[in-house]
Amino acid sequence: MAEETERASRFEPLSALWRVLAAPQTLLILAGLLALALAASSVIPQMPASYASDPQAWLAMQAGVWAQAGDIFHLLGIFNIAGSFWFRAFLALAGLCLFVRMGDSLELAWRVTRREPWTRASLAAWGPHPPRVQLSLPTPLEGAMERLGTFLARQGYATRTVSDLPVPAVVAIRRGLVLWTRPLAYGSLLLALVSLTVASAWGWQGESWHPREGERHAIGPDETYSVRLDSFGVVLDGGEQPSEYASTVTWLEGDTVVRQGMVGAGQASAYAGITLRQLGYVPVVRMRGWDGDDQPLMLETEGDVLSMTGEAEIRFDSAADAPLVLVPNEDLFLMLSFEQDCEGRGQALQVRRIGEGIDDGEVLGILHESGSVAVDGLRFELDLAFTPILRVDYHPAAGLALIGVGLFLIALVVGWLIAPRLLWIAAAEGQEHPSLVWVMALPGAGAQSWLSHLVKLFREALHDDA
Amino acid sequence: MMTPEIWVVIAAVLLGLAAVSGGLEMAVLRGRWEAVVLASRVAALAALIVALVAAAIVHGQWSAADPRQAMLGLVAAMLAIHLLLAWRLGAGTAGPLMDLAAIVLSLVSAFVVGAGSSGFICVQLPALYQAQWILLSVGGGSLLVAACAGLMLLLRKGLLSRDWDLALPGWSPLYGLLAQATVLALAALGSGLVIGFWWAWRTRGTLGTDSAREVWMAVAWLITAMSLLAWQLDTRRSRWAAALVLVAATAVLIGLLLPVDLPAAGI
Repeated sequence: MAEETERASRFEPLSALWRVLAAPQTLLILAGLLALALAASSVIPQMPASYASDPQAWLAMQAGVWAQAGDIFHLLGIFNIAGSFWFRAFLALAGLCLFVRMGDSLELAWRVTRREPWTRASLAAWGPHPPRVQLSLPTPLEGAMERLGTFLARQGYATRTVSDLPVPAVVAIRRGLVLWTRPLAYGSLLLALVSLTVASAWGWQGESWHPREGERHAIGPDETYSVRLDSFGVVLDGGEQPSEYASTVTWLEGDTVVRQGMVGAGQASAYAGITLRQLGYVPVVRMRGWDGDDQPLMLETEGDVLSMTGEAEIRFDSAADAPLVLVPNEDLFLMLSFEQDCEGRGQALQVRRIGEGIDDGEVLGILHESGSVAVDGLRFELDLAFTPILRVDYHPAAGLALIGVGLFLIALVVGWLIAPRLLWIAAAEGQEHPSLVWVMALPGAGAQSWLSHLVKLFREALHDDA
Repeated sequence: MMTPEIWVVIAAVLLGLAAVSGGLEMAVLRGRWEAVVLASRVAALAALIVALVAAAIVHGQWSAADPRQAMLGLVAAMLAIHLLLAWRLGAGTAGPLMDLAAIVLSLVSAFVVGAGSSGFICVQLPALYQAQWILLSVGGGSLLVAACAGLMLLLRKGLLSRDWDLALPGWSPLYGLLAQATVLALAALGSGLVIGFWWAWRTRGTLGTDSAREVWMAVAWLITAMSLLAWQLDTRRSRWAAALVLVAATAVLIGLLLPVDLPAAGI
């Protein structure tokens, strides 16, 4: 006897850890911390991946409190919350909680499906304080349980006796197979979490580049492969309207062509697990200028140390870029920008003369294709072309993350629409009434609501019988 | 055609009628108040849909990127989901609180967000982006319904203690409404976020989003999941669920009112 008591009270670390991880409070706290971290990441400036190799350069650009305590915040991972050690620790703990909950719900679904006998230990799923309703019945205990059993059978419940309780007790099950949606939901979230970890730990993303037609670009950490841009142009939507811009590309291993493909908005080309994407496109403008006597003008573009006579090539870094062109001898500044054309003719190149400030000045012309603009007797010809912005990435198992979240949503909706019902019913002889019955539901959203409705139906049935 | 503001005012008046009728019904005054409440809410929903169409015409297209249309869509979704859950699926009703919340949000969408919106954005948004924001609006609307039910649950105890002899909505139907709206919100917000992640993955090859609006929707989704999980607590489960749903609804409103960053959304 003493030995049994000692065994019962012995602290088992693994069981305690399992209980902590299975407790809803643990997952609640972790989800709350993750939500706080996500919200903080939209308020606190986050360091772009391109500065990962030189964080000090990015820190030097910050202002205010972010600059004053920049080094400490950087050390704590505040400027890269998704990549910080503590955020990953939260994710790992959340994964453990999901694993434990999956195990528990799997055991419950298995027991229901296999119709295994119910014992006191297997009622742990109800927890210490489940949603419950107490019934005081005017009939003796045996009769009360029989009437309740008949009522539940009419409602579609199957009942099983709990064998080792000192009072009469049954477990009533309806739509028990749908209980499998619980381990599926936890398991699919776990799959998504593990896949995201694999994708971010072993994956990489290259720098974007703007190739011209025929240009080759080596890709990957070991530069085994390269990609050549064959052509870039408009894809028509079947009629005359341009639907999108797309690139045809060739994958090469050394000088051997291994694959050809097309990339556009939402359309990628993949080879050996590496995916090539077109992030957008930018204009490349070749500009020439002449004065009133038809003499070529000297043009200077941003980034050029030396002025060029007659012709300049202006490359946009992004669609939002607005490069400047200086005509030194005429003291004239021009700004080019890539503007959205709201009249359905796609995007257009705007040429603006800059005045005192960057925002004032006059628009000299809006070009949908190559053309010319004039100002103060000066003439400029602009050849307008476009180049794609390409980037490669390698994210193994990233697709599995999406599948995991998708499966979770399916399990959630199925579990909601075809809600399974599991009741634990215990009865005892009462003082004032011949019998007392406790009907207890598994803790969950709306359990108290449907339990009350069920008991109301039972009371109505009793009333009708009377 | 009348301007969106006028349709919003009409919807607000109808919702005011529903709120007053709901209040009279709670005060146990004789009359067919339930029918008046139902008719007013249906008419207000129709007026909000017309306001949404008028706002789309003013804007040039129906666009989830327009904050005013997004807010109007959210209020319309909130009313439609409340009607669906309360009358079709047999869940409870959040009472006049629901109408008051809809009045405030619709007036904010017409006169506060409308005045500050940037106007014409002529970018043709991809169908997937629009579908994502329809789902996020449905999820947000469900969350607002759940928040009203939660608020009613939290207020109910205080009102009952005052001995005013009010016919307040029963706690059991309110629990039902709170739970059903929370699950619907989790499913709709989750579906919208999955589409967003799929779009980000297809267009930019990133595993997350740089759009602050979507980040706040993900925050709302996590808090909604917490609310659903709170039903498994041993004590005070409904209070926790109601309080968390209120926080999640706040996160949705913050997300919707944030400026749209189309390049961050891969457009």
